Amino acid sequence: MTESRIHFFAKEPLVALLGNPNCGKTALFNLLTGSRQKVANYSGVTVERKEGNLTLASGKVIRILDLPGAYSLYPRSLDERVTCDVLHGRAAGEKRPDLVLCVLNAMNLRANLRLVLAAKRLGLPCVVVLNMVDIAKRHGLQIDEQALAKELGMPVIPTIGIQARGADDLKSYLAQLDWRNLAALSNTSLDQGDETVIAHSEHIESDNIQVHRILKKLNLDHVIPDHFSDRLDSVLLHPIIGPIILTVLLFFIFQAVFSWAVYPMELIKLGLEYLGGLLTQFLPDNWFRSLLIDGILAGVGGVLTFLPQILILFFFILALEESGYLPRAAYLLDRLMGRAGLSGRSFIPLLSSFACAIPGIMATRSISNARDRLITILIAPMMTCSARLPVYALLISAFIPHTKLWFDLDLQGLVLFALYLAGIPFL
Amino acid sequence: MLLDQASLGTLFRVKGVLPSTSTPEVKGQLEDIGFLTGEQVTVLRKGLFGKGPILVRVGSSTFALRENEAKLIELEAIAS
Repeated sequence: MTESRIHFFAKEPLVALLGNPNCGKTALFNLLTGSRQKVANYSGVTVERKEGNLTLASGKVIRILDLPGAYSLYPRSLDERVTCDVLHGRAAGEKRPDLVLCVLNAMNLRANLRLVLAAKRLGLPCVVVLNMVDIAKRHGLQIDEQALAKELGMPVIPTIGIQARGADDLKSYLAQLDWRNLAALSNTSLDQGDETVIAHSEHIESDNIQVHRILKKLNLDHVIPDHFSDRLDSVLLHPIIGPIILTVLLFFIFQAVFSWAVYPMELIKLGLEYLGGLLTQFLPDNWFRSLLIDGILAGVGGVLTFLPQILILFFFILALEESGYLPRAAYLLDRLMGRAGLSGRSFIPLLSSFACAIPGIMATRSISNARDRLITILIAPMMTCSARLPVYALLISAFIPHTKLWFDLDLQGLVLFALYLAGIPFL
Repeated sequence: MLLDQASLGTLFRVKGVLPSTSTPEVKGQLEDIGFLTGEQVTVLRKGLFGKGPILVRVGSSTFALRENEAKLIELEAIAS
């Protein structure tokens, strides 16, 4: 007997947001969908799937899907694989999008336009969204949207992803769109499927020539240096000052994870004890009470007490990531981590595993490479977490004599330090 | 000249990306992120003693490349 799955899809049209990493796609997605978002995983892979609804002025509801960022439509990473599968209508449990919004970072047209040209070959209705037009204007970059639309053969709509009304033009465009006749927006009705390696490198060559031609025609063919971040980088990535700033920052974060979390952790512990006492009082002494108190309360409570630490660590990781410091930290630490075959991105999860492996493993989400993420997850529990400290202390005081070595060095302290060092797998 | 030999702050043009025998997928990755023939490239920063990852601007994006990746990118001087 064979099994075949039938998927039922919502009747609302599905609009996919496609763009390079760092093109402001997610900010635009948040702006369009507001707080009505559903976050899940694509089936079978650990790639986040974000969907939200947008109600147009005409009263029509459309579903908006935030695709993982991609540099090209030739799948190299897990994220790009998902993006390609969805766009070709091959992803399990996913409807092929009715419309693709290609999000362009106006500050980086060169790289972004190549993706737009690749998207044109999909055979899906495409609309170009020119994002970050405000920053481009501030840098004296005048982009003629009409001319760009003419060159690309697609409608171009300017947006500002981080401004409250920045997507109004896009919303009104979508509202007046004839949703029953979207085919008019597609450049070809033919989907050529996945590209082969040879076809891809041919495409990338010809796309590059075309992008150069378009940029020249629009008089945008010059490099725009980003002065402000360059000046910041000259300090943050300085070979000597950079690591010092990083060390101070990390020291502050771990100090915060430990010291700020003490009170809420105590509070949760006290609350659980109080609840346990209450249950002992009111329930008869039988297996059910034991299950409730010793099983569920102690078990769930044990995890719950780590919640403050996890939340504080996540707050800092989010702040580091959103500010763009994380890739810079990865750059500074690449050589150290490279010895273990890891990238610099594994550093923060591993360092936080000294506090506790659970938030450490959860922090590995920021590692984009699936192999690196798995290795980091496997190494993290081997780091000496704080819960092991009492065990070390007990064993050391039981077996190691309390003697002074040279320079007033305590033997017990030295053994503890050695144990910590021995716990770092890649040293 | 290869990218790992390029001097800091000088503008070059990408001549091409060499195929790598040990890691064949890298050529395509580098091309995807923008190391394509004719693109403008500047080395922004090198590590201490010239070791470690190299910070490179290509077009208007900035990337950090490891030495073995930088060795695959062929550059040519810009005729001024």
